[in-house]
Amino acid sequence: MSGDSFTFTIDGVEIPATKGQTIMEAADAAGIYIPRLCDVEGLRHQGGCRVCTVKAGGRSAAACTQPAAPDLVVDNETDHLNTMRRHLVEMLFQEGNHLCPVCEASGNCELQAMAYRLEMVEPFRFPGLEPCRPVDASHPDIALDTNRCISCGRCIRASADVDGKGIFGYVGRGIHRRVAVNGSDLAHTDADINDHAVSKQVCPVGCIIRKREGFSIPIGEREYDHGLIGDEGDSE
Amino acid sequence: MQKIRAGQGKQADLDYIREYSATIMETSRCGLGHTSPNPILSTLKNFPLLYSAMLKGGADRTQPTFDIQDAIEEARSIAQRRSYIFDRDFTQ
Repeated sequence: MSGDSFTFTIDGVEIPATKGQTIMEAADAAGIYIPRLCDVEGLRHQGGCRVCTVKAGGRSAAACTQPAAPDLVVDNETDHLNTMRRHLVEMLFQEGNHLCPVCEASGNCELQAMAYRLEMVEPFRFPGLEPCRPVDASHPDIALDTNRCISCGRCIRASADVDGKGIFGYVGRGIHRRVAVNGSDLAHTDADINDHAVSKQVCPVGCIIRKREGFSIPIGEREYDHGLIGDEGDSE
Repeated sequence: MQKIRAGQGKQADLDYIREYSATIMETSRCGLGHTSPNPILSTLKNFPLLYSAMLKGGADRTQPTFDIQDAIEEARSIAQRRSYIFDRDFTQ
């Protein structure tokens, strides 16, 4: 083990890491928060949302997929990076219908929380795409509102890797790529309310809705209502 | 782009396009993303006069894309009369 462990720095702080760890895994273990949307504990990394972009040795790289290296100098909380992250989150908002006041996930939503963290305080300067996608409420326990989807792929990975089912998958190309279910609708898949893919921590937004659980925690007392995302940990 | 082509764009929109383009180019994973803003950027670079002809002015701290006639149109139709200030041919 001793031969495989080394240190590198994030924002000047020395971080221990072992061979094969990504920058984000090492940062999480050391209690340093790197913003992320498509990455969640327990699923393999995708590197799709690019919100975790850091400067690793002067080059931009996704911290969730970039392996840590000995003596690597990583910049995380810089104005430049946070501006780029804010742009990425703005673009996600513009690609979907993210109406926080009427959304059941408000307060539990990682996208909303990330917007607050990255100080996305200005109104959008460009009109959004305003997609109009049907809501799939066919399943007795689960509803799917893909208008709120940010295509993070967390449900896809959870369903394929953890549940071994492959209920969700990407369809389409480019801007038209979105998440679809493996069947005519959700009722015609083997989706179950106890799947990891439909558990609360997988969908970062309010796309996968667990029926009859809405507003069990009132708005104002939810996960990200008490502070910025990433600050609930030990230190920043 | 639609906004600018409709004649509703302003200089800040072009700056915004450049900012977004830089973000996309820097954070993309693959070569497609690294180069995808190039068509727009090269038109910005090579046809600045065309762009500036399409933009609305507004150096006097007014909001150039705000159309007062459009904004009061609904009030006009509700009140069923014309505006004393903004309709020059107003007669009581």
